[in-house]
Amino acid sequence: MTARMRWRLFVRSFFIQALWSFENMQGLGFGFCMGPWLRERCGASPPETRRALARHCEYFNTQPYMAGLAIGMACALEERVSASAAEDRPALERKLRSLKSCAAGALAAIGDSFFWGAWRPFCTVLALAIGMTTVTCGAPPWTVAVAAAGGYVLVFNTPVLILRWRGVGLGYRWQDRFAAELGRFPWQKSVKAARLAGTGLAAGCALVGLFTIMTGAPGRGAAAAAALAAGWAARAYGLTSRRLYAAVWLIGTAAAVVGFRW
Amino acid sequence: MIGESAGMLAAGAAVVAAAELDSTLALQLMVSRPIVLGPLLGLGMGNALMGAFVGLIVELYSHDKIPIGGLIPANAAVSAGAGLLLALGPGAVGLPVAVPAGLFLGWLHERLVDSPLRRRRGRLAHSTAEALARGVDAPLGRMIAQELALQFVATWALLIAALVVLKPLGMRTWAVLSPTALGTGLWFAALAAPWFGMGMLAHSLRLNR
Repeated sequence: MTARMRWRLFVRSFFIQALWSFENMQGLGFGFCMGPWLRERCGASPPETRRALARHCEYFNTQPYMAGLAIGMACALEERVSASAAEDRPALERKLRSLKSCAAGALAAIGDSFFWGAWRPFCTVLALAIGMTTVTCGAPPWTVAVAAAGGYVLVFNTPVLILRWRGVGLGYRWQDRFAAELGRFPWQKSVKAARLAGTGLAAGCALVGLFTIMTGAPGRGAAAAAALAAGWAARAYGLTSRRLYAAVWLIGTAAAVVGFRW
Repeated sequence: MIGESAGMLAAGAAVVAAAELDSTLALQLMVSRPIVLGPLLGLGMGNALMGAFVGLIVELYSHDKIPIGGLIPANAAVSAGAGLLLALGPGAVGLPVAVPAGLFLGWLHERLVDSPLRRRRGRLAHSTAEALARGVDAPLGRMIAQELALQFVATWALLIAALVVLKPLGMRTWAVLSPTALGTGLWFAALAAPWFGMGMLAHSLRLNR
């Protein structure tokens, strides 16, 4: 695979969800990503290109940041299909479909648990910590805004972009050794490390915030601590954000009715 | 002057609609996250701290809503953007009304824009599969450009309609509610929201998930 082709696949992988639907999920987007490769491999035969494109426009769903690995793997297997004799093709195409489906599930499980379940909450806490630090240092509002937002985008996207770029090459190299190679990465350790670091940062932010409030108004500090615990309990109970917001409104209203002053 | 202010709100709505594309359809570089969009939009509209506060609340209330499989959560980018556009600019609505109104609009966007457009794309997938089976080319790149444009226009239109309706309504509602216990309750809900949200965030970071 040439560097130019890898770049084209990498850029197209940013649009894998652009035609997302309930029935087909990322299927059409995956077909779009594979377009340049299929045209290059089957360029001499437009009907063959369309047949290959139809294969890749079928149902597909995985975590978008991990999709590069599946795209690379599919490219390698398509290369084998186009290089094989006509009688071997149906079996190879079945193998490609089956491997793509298995890879999608495995990549989704890993990617959802790391990127959505650990990395995104960690980056949220990090942005909050950056914002609190810049406020404490007396920085002007625009610095706080740019530092918190910029820090979030920069830190979140560093592993994302590396994985998206390297994923195409790795998937292409791994081919059907995909599952074994994927198992070598310490995904679970990374998830735990991100959650642990996030918990530590969140505890630090909460303690600094509570200490700041309590030194000025102990009653408000106690109310903030109670709100923190109630937020945890609400999520453990499965309360939705809108219901929680409405419940807090009602609590505040009831407190005002009985004469409580904040 | 009025035209200039209306232009600022329309441009703000366009920024939110463009950033919203990042949430699912394209890029996913997280510029659509409320904690990023809020401060930057606030900065652009002249109040970075208000932007950071609204962005933080919506982020903490929506960080664990994950767009996986067939699940479409309330749109966090629209919630934060709409909340800010209501709270800033001409005819600004009080923050305690703007935040819940923003959360409501995020939910409404899921119902009125996201779900119908995804059903439409499902029909597109059927017709593409049929076209390829018949030996006709499928212009996937053009389809993507059309769908992105459609999503952008639909989100922008929803935001503009919401601003036209909710700005005057919110102002009047807040004028009536603010001296009452209901108004105090709304202030409490807005000011306590970051603490409730932090509790929710800590819950989602627990190790034994």
